Parts: sequence; C-alpha cells; structure tokens
Amino acid sequence: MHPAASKAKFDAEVALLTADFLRVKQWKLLTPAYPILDLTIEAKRPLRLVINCDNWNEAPLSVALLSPSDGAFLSCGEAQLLGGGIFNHSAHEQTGRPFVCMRGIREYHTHSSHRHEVWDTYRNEDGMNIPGIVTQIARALRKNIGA
Amino acid sequence: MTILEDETKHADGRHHDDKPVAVAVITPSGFYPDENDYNRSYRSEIVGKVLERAKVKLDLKNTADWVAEVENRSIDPSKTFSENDLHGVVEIEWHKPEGGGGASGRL
Repeated sequence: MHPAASKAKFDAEVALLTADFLRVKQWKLLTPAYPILDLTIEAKRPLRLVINCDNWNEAPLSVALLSPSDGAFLSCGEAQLLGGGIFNHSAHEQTGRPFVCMRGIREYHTHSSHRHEVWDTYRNEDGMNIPGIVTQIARALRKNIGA
Repeated sequence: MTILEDETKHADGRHHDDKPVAVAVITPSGFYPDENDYNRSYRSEIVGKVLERAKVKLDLKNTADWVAEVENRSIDPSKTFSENDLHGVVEIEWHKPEGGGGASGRL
C-alpha cells in the first residue's frame, strides 16, 4: 500500500480514539503519530502496547508488549504475568520477544504455525480496524488478570 | 389480561413502572447515537434492538460474532436491560471478540 494511503487510513482510525472513547476503554494514548500508536491499557496489571502500523492495512499490526512503568520490552518471563490465551510467552521467531497470538497481529500471521491463515481473510471485516483490534487485546488482558 | 392490568400500561405497551435507560453503544467504528448523546430506551427493551439501531447508524455489515459488555461484564443481547441488570446510564461496548491462535487454544 502506498505510504500516503496507509497514513490516511491510520489517521482516520486513530481519530476514532476520542477522549470519550478512551475513557470508556480505559486506555491512555501516548503517541499517535504514523506509523506508531503507543498506548497503555488500564487493568489490574496495566500493559503498554507500541503498535507499528506501517503498511496498514495491507499488513496487520505489529504489536510490542512493554512495561508501562519503564517502557522496556517485556521479557518472556514478565509476559507470563499477563496470563495465557492470546499472550504467547515464548520468543517469536522474528522479533525474539513474547507476542500477541491473535488474528490481526503481524506476529501471528508471520508465525510458522499460522502462515496459512492470511491477513487478507480478515482485513475488511467489521471490527478489524485499529480500535477494534486493540479492544480485543484489552478484553483478553482483563479476562486474564482482571480490570 | 384484566382491566386493572391494562391500566398499568402505556399506549405503547410499556408498564408505568418501566424505567427509562440512557444508552450509548461504543463500537470500533464509533458511537451510537453519537459521542455527545445517549439513546433513550427502557428496561423492558431487548438490548439487541438497540444494537440493531447502532448497526444501521454505523453502517456495520457483519456483527454476527460480536460480543456486548458493560464495565467488562458480558451481557446477553437477546435479553432485556432489566434481565441484564442494567439501569440508569448504560454504556455498551460492542465489538468483535479476540480470535485465532491463543484465543482458540491453538498456539
């Protein structure tokens, strides 16, 4: 996708993250500057996500898991505190870090176990935009460790 | 139905003691009715009816697998606000659930 088209789509979807939307979702927006969306999900154990949206939405979102307190990438051991399900605590083959194992996430679709499940299957579905995918991660986090 | 029972109802069939509910639906595509307003509903109304109105307003095509939650609690759209123990100001988060890989129990 042309970078200008990708940025336009990113900007349109990030514009949905209004103050009221963030209040309901209990997210703190840190950096919304293409291609990076940096936010913290409030939960019993808050989680910071740095989301690389380059080539969105031809490519799915690349999500890094960070500590909200110091901004460091979570280690595989620290990621275990997020619980299981979509949070995979092992090192991803490409990033070497724990990752989100869920459709819509680049680390999922590029993992050797899921390469057959192509992003194109989902990319135009309702609810698979940036706010929708982050909502899914937040829901899984709160189900695992509490709100 | 007795005459007495009938007199306890509004012309539209609602009971006099059917309390209003102020509802907002928050989806990945935006708010219903809009960000600065709430939709007036009643505790006897099926939640799914409000979600249907949100679907039309927000031009959503396929929400068959979406889930509805209020303050991180799953609610049943096939039941009324009352049956879901919802009253007053209600903000419904309505969205697609997580899926694939870890969400389905596979890697």
